[in-house]
Amino acid sequence: MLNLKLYDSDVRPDWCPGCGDFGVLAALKNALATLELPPDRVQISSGIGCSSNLPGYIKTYGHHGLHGRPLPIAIGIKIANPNLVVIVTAGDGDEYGIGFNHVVHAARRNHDVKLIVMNNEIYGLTTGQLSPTSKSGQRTKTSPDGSIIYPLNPLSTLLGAGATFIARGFSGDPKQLSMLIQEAIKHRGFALVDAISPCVTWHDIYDEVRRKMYKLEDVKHDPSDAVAAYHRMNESEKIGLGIYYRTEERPSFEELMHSEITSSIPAENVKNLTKDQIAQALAQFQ
Amino acid sequence: MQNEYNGNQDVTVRLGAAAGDGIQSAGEILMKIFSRSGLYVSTYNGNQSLIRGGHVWFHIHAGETRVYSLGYGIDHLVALTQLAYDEHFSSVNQGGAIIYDPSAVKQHDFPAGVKKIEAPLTKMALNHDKRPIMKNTVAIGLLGGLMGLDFGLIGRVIGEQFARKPDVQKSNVEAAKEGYEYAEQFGITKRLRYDYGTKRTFMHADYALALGAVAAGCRFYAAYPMSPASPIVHWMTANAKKFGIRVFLGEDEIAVVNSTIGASFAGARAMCATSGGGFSLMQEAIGQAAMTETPLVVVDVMRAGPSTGLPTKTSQGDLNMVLGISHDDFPRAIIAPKSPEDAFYTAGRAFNLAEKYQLPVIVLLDFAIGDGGYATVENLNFDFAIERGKIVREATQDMHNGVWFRRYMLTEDGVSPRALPGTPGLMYVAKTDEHDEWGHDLSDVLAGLKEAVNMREKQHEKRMRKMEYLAKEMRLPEVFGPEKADLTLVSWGSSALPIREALPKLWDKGLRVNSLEFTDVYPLRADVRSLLMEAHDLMDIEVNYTAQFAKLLRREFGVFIEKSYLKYDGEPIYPAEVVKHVEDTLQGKEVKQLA
Amino acid sequence: MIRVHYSKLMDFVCSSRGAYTVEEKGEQLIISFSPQLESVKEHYEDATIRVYAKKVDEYAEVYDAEMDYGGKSLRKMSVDSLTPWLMTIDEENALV
Repeated sequence: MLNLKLYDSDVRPDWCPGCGDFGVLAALKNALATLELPPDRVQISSGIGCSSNLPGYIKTYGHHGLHGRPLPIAIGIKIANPNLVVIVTAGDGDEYGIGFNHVVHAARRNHDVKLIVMNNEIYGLTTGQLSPTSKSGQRTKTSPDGSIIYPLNPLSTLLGAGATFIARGFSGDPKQLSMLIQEAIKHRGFALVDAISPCVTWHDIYDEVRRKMYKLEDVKHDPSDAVAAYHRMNESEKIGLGIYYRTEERPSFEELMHSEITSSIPAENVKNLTKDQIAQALAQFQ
Repeated sequence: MQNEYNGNQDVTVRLGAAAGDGIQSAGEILMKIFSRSGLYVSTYNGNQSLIRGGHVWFHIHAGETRVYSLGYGIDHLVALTQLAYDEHFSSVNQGGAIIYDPSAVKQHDFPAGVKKIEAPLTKMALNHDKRPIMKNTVAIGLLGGLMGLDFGLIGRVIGEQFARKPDVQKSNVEAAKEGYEYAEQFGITKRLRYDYGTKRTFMHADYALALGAVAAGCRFYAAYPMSPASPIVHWMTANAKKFGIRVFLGEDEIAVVNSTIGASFAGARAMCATSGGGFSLMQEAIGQAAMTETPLVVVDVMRAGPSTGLPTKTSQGDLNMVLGISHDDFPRAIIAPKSPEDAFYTAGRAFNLAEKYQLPVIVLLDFAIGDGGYATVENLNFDFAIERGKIVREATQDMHNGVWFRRYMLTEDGVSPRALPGTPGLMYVAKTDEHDEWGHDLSDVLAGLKEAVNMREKQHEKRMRKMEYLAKEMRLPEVFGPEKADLTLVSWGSSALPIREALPKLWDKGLRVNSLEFTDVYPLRADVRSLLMEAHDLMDIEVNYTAQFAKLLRREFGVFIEKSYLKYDGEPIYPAEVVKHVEDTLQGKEVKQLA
Repeated sequence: MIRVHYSKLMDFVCSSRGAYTVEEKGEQLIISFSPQLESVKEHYEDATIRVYAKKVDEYAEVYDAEMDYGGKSLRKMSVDSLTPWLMTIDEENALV
């Protein structure tokens, strides 16, 4: 295990006391240290929102980009330099709303990129509007009489899209969350860790989560069983924590791409063409 | 409109048919034949965005010396459908010929001084194959005969074209032979000086740019299909294994541009291309690249808009968009190559500039020189210098605070040292929020505090300062023609070429005209102003409605160009149009003034 | 009940540019967090988080917390939920 201090930033998180994101940050640091991934090998991309400020609070390479768009950035980084461990950390507004299209395709193509969504069922930074995972009846600034909109179930949707690793954790149990993140990093291809991370200011669901939560391993859930996973993903009064679904059978996008094209990676192959290659290239134009 | 026969040094051929008739393929065969006869070519693809039916045409202008555009009129028209005849017969030059199959095409109003070449193309084709599509090859053979070309070469090129279809290869060559022999009865219509020992290279700007990019070290290309940029992704995928190019097919243009930025951030040379509509989707990401100071090469192959517009027609209408794209001020470069050869070199330049100044470089091509038209390229030099700017592997003391790398360090030239992910000890977070030198947000708790206000001003200036240095590397426009002129034609990008073809005609008439060909359109060097002021009179020629480039010159230099020739019907500029417009202007006839 | 080193807590508060303030009433510490987002005031009159701790030797033992929305609107927060935040203040509490 590497020293946790290796990942210390000199910037203090500006999240509210009690914010779940502190727990996710702690779990992430712990996971990287346990897997002994040095900070320079890790790349964390984020979007916009309270949770997307995370990269500044952990000393790795980071990219704090556009709302909804950290996944394509991460995908490009991984293709250019597959030696990096590429992680995306963002919120439910960012990844289950505006950015969800990218999540679906990243999952389908099985890019070796790990997505940690800090899910608080609200748009926090912009002060309390409905998010795609807000429950029906939830009162927010944009739904003062209770939401009439049916929420998205990201887990079952991504299961349908062909995701090969789907897990859910809770910021209030950073030990389990760290284990889930480690498994995600070790997984062959795209991994989603939906981390319930309550917002104390706008939508404090800590007590509710503690009441409803249970561990999937405690009920002997079999993560290779997609049908069982689907049923558990659709439970309404219980919140299962752990790995819902996982398969290591599918090759990742990078494995497939790099087996087709075996020359060195784009980040290191910035060179002119050889005489032979030039002749080959010109042949079709003469 | 009939034009004068212009001597024995060049020829124009137009093949007209319906979509699905294989006219593109036939045109390419002919272009290859001409190129291997030592001729220079410039082609135009009058295609439509459909798979079958309609009307498509392929135009080749070939010459013993360099040709720049469609040329003047049509010397040889091969009309395979009635519509092809109807559309183009009146453009055939005196002394030219119209080739058609009377069983498919009824001629009418046959132009005077034009040879009538009636040939039973379909019947001849059916001698060799069940499918009448072979009538194209018959027509090629026939045309070759009329032009006095060597059949050996014709047969070889046709054989190569069908190398992957051995079952039809032999019969195609035979069909061409039959057409060639049929031509004997008509004699030679036009023979150029053929040099079978010289094989010329032809390319359109999409391919040239792709090749140039890869030659300059680009190994990541992302795309979403869009006319007329798709040939670039086709070329990249066809050559991916050979050259180690990773091609990423994104789910939309937003994924495409963001993944390109990610790849560049990680240290690859990465590029993406699209047309106007796709570029509109890339707007936010381009601002991101400028703010995070990540090099980006992004290409707009312009087509007629607005909105969906005309996918297979040309325009230079996106200049305003790329000048203003994404919100607030940030540094950018905009380069519009004038030809495929220029596009080849522009790719390498774009990467060097993008990495040296750590900003977005926007390359503007258009349908006319891109998917729409091949041209001969010469003297391609593949030994590009690869200049990657301030990439550091180790930090000096002032570049590090013990925790973070000082990625956004304030410097004299506005360019900060850059570390690539994976480099030990140089971690930093790229930021789209306004930030300090260490990449920490100025936008949240610090916003409005004195030091944050101060740093914001400095960072903004730092980024914009790059433009001063960048401007010094931008090329001045090339002058074509005499040093001193009564009228100077101002153009940008591909509009330069048909003007080059128009000028000699004007000089023959004793008119003193030259042209100023801009390719580096932004930033413009300060000394451009004196070039414009020195001109006796100026005329702006471009392919858009609002004279976007003339307005840019007005804005930047206060130079007011009143005269213009603006084309916006989707078709490329014909040199004859330029000649007429300039003549009318110099003779004091009414011409449209710019507002 | 969770605890942090008193000195680490004070360091944290001092470096917060006024986001956090501490009131000491004998052994009792009241740590207040006021988010500096003007827009909070659109929804709530206020959104101050108050964390109550007791000074014991060199530690501050946290035992209660509430969210004050202004007026008479007060909501109790679970102390449990503060653990990750406290881990940041004092890495002795860090996840091991």
